[in-house]
Amino acid sequence: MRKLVVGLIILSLITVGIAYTIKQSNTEIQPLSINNVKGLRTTSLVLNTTLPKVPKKLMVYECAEPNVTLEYVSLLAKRFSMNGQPEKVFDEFVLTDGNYHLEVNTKSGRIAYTDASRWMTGNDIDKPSNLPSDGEAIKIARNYLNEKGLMPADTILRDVTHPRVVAMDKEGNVIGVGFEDVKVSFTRKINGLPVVGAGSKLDVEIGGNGDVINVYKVWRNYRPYEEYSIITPEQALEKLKEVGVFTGIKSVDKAVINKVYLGYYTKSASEKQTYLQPVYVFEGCAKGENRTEEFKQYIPAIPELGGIR
Amino acid sequence: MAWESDWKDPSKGGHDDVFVDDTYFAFFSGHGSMTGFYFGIEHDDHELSDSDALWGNKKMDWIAIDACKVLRDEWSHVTWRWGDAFEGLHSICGFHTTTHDATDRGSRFAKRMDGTWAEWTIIQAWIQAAKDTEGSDIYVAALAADADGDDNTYDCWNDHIYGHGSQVNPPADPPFRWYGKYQC
Repeated sequence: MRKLVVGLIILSLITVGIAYTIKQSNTEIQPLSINNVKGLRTTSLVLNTTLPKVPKKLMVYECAEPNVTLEYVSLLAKRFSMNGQPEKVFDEFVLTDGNYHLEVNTKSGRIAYTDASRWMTGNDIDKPSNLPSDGEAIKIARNYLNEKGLMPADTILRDVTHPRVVAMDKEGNVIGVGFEDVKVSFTRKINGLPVVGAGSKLDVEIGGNGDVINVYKVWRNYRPYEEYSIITPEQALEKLKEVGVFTGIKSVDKAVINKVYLGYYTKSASEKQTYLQPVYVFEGCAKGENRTEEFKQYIPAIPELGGIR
Repeated sequence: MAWESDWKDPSKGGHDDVFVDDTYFAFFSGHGSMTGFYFGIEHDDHELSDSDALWGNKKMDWIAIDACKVLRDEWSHVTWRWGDAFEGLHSICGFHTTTHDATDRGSRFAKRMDGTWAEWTIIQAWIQAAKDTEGSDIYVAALAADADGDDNTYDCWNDHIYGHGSQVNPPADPPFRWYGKYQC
């Protein structure tokens, strides 16, 4: 009987060991690497806010592989009323039809549609007097995205801005406007947290006469993967003190942290992303050389899964 | 490894006439601030400041400075800081805010100028390359010479690289400059 019990215990341990090994191999996540700011480093930090209360664990999400095929891009091109055959060149499917240009990135699924004869060029149509109001522009953007099948369910209106190209004299006075449009930007939340980094954008730019002259969408699909323990805000702050804050000021007196929160970090449109991981976001103001400058710095919330590049 | 003196005009004590001003297009990637951009070696010094810059008096038409804040438009206006750098130069591409290391920004910039993906204007290609590689808290920027004093023509703002569209030759002292910044 004793031998049987010992045998069963050994068998159980072997079974648990095998299960653990399989689980471990399944949970290998690519390290999160965050591109560093090209500015000048300071470690003279002052916390000017209370640190947030955070959960002990957070979900890591797995990104769906973007299924960017010739058929898919051809269908998109038709929706944009473009003619011609898209061509895969490096990591982009590309189609140019007259003034109109479409790119779809094979790593992220990013869609970029542009009227290259107008967008961010000096021209006689995209002038302040020809633009719709901000409210009208929001309606145009929403309708356009719905018509083209490009409006995700989880969009949140982020802001409306006016990119401009201006004629400037040497004293910095604006003496003319060469281009202006209305840019309607949407964002999203994941698990109730904001999405940060370069890889979550949906912008529609409306030029003169209400024409859509640019659409830019990088909006990865995702599904829950597994919950992981995260570090505390205090630990993240200590890590930030090691890494430092980067700004464009040569000699910073101090960098004041005014806001700390969690978000999900997304990589840029030209990078493949396999997992969405949480990061701490530190925002604040650096002071020095008679001026101040805002900064934003990320610290991975699951340090064993990556760091700053 | 680049030296600061390679980017500085002989009249300022450098020898850019046999380096960057002996090319049509220069590209710098590294650290920057409102007043200039920085080199790892002190030769002549670490910083190419706005007062050191005088470009286009030999050959340079365009320069892209992939560094933080060089084209920031703030209390010290961008045209006041960099206006005197234009001595035949057509345009400067840069950033209004900080920026991040992005290994593929330069190649994405080139591919939309040289026909690999498109034949856009230099400044469109720069903005789109920044948009591809930066978050929406970052602003890319450009500064271009006007040629004729008429704000109904857009001159060097709409330049293409040679062989891929039109470009306008500005005078050594442009009447004014075109400036734009764009939230990535």
